[in-house]
Amino acid sequence: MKIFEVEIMNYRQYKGKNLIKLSTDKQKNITILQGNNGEGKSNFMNAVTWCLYGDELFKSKMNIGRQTINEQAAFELKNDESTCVSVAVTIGDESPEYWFERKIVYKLDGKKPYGAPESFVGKQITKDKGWDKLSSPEWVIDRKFIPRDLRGFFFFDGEKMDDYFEDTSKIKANVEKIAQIDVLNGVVSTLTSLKNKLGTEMNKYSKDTKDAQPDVEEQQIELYNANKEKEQIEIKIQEKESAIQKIDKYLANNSSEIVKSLTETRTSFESQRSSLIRNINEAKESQKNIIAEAIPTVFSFYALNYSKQQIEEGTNKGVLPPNIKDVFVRELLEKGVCICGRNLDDDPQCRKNIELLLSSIVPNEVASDSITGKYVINKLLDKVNFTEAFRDVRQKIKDFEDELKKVNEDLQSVSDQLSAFDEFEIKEKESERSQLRKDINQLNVRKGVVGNKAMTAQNILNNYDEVTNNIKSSNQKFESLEKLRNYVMSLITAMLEIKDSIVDDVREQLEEKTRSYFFKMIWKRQSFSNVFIIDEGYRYRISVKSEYNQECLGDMSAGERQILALSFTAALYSVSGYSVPVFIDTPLGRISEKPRENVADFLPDYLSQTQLIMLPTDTEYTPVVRNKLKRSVGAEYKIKHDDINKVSGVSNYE
Amino acid sequence: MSTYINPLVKSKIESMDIDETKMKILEELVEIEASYGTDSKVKEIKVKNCREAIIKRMPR
Repeated sequence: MKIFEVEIMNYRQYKGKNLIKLSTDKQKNITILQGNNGEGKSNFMNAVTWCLYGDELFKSKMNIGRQTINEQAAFELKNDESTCVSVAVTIGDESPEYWFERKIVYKLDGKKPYGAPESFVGKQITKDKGWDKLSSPEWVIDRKFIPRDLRGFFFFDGEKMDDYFEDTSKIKANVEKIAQIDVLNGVVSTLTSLKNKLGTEMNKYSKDTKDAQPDVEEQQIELYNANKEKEQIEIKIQEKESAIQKIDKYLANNSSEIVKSLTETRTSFESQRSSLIRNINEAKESQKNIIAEAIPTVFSFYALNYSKQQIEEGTNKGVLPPNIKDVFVRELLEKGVCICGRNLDDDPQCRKNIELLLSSIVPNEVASDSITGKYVINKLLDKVNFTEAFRDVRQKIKDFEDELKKVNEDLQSVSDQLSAFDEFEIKEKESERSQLRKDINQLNVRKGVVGNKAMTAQNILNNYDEVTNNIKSSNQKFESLEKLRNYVMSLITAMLEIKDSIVDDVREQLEEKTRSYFFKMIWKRQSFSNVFIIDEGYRYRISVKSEYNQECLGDMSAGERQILALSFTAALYSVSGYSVPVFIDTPLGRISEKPRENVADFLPDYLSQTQLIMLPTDTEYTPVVRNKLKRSVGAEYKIKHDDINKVSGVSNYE
Repeated sequence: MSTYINPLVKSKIESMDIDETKMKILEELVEIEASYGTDSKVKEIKVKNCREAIIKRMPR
């Protein structure tokens, strides 16, 4: 990307309109703006950064609080007149593609210029439509031109270039940004997040599979054992029931009338007991059904009530009208005849009324839903009134249980009487009978437990196909996630290799080119033996060795350090692959006359891939330097300053 | 509107000893990363787009 034009209007020293066309010629990539100190060189760079980023990189402390507008232009204003400060920058690759303008309109308020809020617009220049307004010009500058946080790397004050080497951790960070190594780090970080996310998803499917996996063999054994035990228990119960029957027969045939009578009474009580137990079970089942039916309504009671109220309110307000089908109303309008027979073409008011009716019809499905909803909700809410039925059934259970308790007590009393009977054999038979009954009770409990086990195992086996299908689907998901994760991991490895390789390449090339440029441009070549750029992890350390191979960066003169900085900068732009303009204010300021010519000889070659805007003073831009740079200069301007009016303007060099 | 990608990054990806599919995916991931930037708020979107870009191209 190059800058094609900069248009400055009433910006600081620059009064009126100044259009500066920069050289975009690949062979003649340098633009010269020569001016003396204080005449507006730095403010030319400030104008560009103000336009593109809204700030001035080289703002003098003296200017803090001073208005951006050229003061003469502002104070010349008369009542109700306005003027503006604006800077427009046009950028593009082969031809102008984007145009950006920042502007503030000023009025003179009393004796003070008053600025309206700053405006910033960007346009994309298109061949067919002329231009399109950009919705986010900042985004275009950041992504297609110089990112905001790197702008300091493309706008230099040459006299401060050797400050460069004071904080080399910043240099490394910026070199990595320019070479987009930070983007590669970002890709690695995003891929790592994706890898972790996939891992979490895989864990879910892996866990599901493990939990859901039924052990068929184990369940079959469980079922077999439970059924077998159940059969054995039933046989034992049967045996014990037979033994009881035998005892009852013995007692019933006993010569004692009392024993006979007690045995008959017991048979009657036992029959009552069986009937009561059956009644209790039936009542409990009915209680369960009442609860099961009411629970969903109880839980959604508030929601149902709310819906009911909404429908009622809607109906009252007329929002939910009677269910008129819009299709019928449409048909009337299409046929042009009302239901009453009126011709709608002859009666526009009637047509209008029908059209209004159509627009007020709530979509048909909502209207019909509200009517159905009203009926269904009322039915559901009725189910909340289950307490009466529930209370009745609970009372029934209690009554049956009380009766059962009484029958059990009577049975116990019969048993006690028989046990206390004054005949050894009767006593013994009754005691044996009691024991048999206890055993049967215990066996029934065990039969229940075993029955449950058998039922559970049977259910698991019945659901086996469904579970197996779920597992199969889980496994497929797991495998596809695993495949994707492995692929992501291979991408991370490849990206890390690319990143490491670029980091090494950049450092090596940077070192080689800095060394080569430095030794060509420096005038006392014999005083230096080598230049190194050492990667110390968080920073680059620049090392310059003396003729005796001793570290000498600290002993170099300001001019020598500026040559090193220029060599490093030129190397950086050559290596980074970043193709955007570079602005250097007073590029040769600290370099004395003879070496300056040397720099002018070589620098254009080193920065030949970059659009270079140099802002030298007249003492830097001597006829010899100008002559040496001539082959690469595509545009040449002078900043002319009017000392009386204290305004500057840009004009052609000659 | 495509984002600026340093030619150094492009040429390095192309010079790696990796298959063409992987190369295309990496180029697309770099494009996604450069266009969204480093704001943590867009992390989730980047991960989602990255996943879609990989699934779209990766070998079955």
